[in-house]
Amino acid sequence: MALLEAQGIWKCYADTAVPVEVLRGADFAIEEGESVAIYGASGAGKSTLLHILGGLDRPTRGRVLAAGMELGALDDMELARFRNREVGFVFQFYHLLPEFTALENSMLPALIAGLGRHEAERRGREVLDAMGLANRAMHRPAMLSGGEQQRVALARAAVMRPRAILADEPTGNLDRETGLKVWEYLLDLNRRLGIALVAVTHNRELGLELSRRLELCDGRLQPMKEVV
Amino acid sequence: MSNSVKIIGFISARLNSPCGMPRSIKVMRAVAATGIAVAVAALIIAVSIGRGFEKTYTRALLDFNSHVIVMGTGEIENPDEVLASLRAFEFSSDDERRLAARYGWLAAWMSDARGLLERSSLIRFVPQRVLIQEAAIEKASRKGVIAATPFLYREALIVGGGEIRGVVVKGIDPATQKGVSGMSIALFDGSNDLGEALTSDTGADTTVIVGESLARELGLNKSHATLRMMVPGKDHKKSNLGREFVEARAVGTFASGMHDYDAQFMLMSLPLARKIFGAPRTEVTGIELKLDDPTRARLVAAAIEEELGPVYRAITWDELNGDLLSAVRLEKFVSALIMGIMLIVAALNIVATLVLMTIYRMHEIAILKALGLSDKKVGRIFIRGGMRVGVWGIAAGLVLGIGIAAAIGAFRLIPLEAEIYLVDSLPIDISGPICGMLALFCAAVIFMTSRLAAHKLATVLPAEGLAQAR
Repeated sequence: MALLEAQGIWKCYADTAVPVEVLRGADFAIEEGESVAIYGASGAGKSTLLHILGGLDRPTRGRVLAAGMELGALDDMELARFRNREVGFVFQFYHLLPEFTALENSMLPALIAGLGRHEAERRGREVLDAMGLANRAMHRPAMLSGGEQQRVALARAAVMRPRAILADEPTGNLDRETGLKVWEYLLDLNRRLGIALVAVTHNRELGLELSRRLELCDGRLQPMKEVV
Repeated sequence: MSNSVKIIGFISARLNSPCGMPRSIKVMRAVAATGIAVAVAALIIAVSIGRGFEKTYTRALLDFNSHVIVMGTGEIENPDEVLASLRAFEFSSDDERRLAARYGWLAAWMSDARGLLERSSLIRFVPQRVLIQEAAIEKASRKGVIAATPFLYREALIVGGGEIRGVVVKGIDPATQKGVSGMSIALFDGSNDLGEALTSDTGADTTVIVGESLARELGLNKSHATLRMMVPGKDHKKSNLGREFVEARAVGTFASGMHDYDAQFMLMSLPLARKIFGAPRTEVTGIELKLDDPTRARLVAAAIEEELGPVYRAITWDELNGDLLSAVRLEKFVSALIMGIMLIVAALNIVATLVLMTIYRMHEIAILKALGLSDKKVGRIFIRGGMRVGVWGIAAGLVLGIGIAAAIGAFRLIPLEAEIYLVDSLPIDISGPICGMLALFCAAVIFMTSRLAAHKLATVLPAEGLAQAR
């Protein structure tokens, strides 16, 4: 059974003058510990697909199964629990909460899961250490560089040891050197902890290190044609 | 406190903190809090004025009329027997239970609640003279009747200071009257002995104590204390004096706190009243009773009627003045209702604030949902935000309302025409429990409006919030 599986996903934005069909029957599956890169032109629907896989958005048609459990059938509490425990998100623009310190940002999922403050803080410090940010724990996002903010976002995604991390252009907002560093941390989570990784990226070079590469084209996913 | 509650408190404290909020939201929050503060203050002032009037009138009525009046089918010719029965009467807890069951549990409960609220003043500004000896009442045992005194009512015309007035002469027993009445009596000679004053030989046919307003209208004082009293024809023929005009000398004035009473009544000793009005030696109009708890007057009155038999009727102070009291209570209820509606309108401002807050915090809501916070918990964060504004408004409203009401009472800022309103300045009675209940009511209204708004707003899809760049 696939860890995460999307079957015939359609997504149509009907609130515009002309309805836009972003996804047109996309199929996707990822196994435990696997890493998959998804490429595609801007506006192809990569982020939409990732949001639907993570339960942040609902498909117009089709279904998403997480270890055989259909996300569309879950109620608000169950879906929240899925997002908290089963998946971690990394976004292009980091999406840290500006009122919270790096440590607080990284321990938020643990607090939301109902862990005590001490345990959440222990886990938060542990993941921040792993990202090389031990000395930046008490800083707020505004005081951190883009790369540091993205590493805090990685720490936050990893703090609950989810089964999959869904990364939406994690290096898209960073310079090449910082991007590579962040990418390394992301791959490390996949290799060292066995967390499955779905990464949407424009950078073909980075994707080469992942076990599979797919391309989103005309609303459907297809294997990437390897350039020799 | 569960971890779930703690995390909501932790996130709410940061997201609802005014630090870093745009000015427009800060202004909106200040406007909402001010609206609630003004509504709460208006509600407290309205209720305090309503209570002030009710309490002032009630106390004045209780002072002048006693708590229960026992009357016969006509005049009572054997008052000593009736008095003996009443003094021996005990209102047992069995009676109370039995009669409460007959009147219904609601009546008994309301009586209890009213009794509690009657005694719950935080700050009170009513004329001192109408404050009956509450301490004595509270100390008294709960046996029902704690004092009884006979009285005789007769009508007469009086002439004095070039004025003619129709008055009610109340014959009282000075020895027992004080135990029943809380009226303030000021004797011209400065003494406190009512019995001595009403029975002293002044050279006139009788001595009287006149109502304060009546004394003022007739120009009666220590040096001009003589007035003529015309006894109705059928009475003067029966009287020992046999004359139509009787000379009376005022020895003091009384003040009940109610202009109507103070302008229409005169007190005379019971034996002299009988003599002047030709009543039989033992006859009285009725017997006034003071109870340990006037709010239970109806239950005690019912027990007394059972005790004395069908010839006698026990009339309670609130039955006797039902029209006035129900008018005052209606006014109190209506003003509280209007102010309560105003409060609900003010609380709706919180909804507008929450809508602005959720639009401003859409991005954070989406992130929190992506991290696993449920719609319900996101809603709770914003309910706390609404409550935070509301609690500031309520606290400010309590301070403002109590402050203004206390100032109106303490400095008599709003004088009234005593002839119309029966009191000379706006009476205020601020009740701690009532203020507490109003604060709880406001908090409940704000909670409900916040809940409705927050839960609706929290259902936004995380992907939509993430797409919004602020």
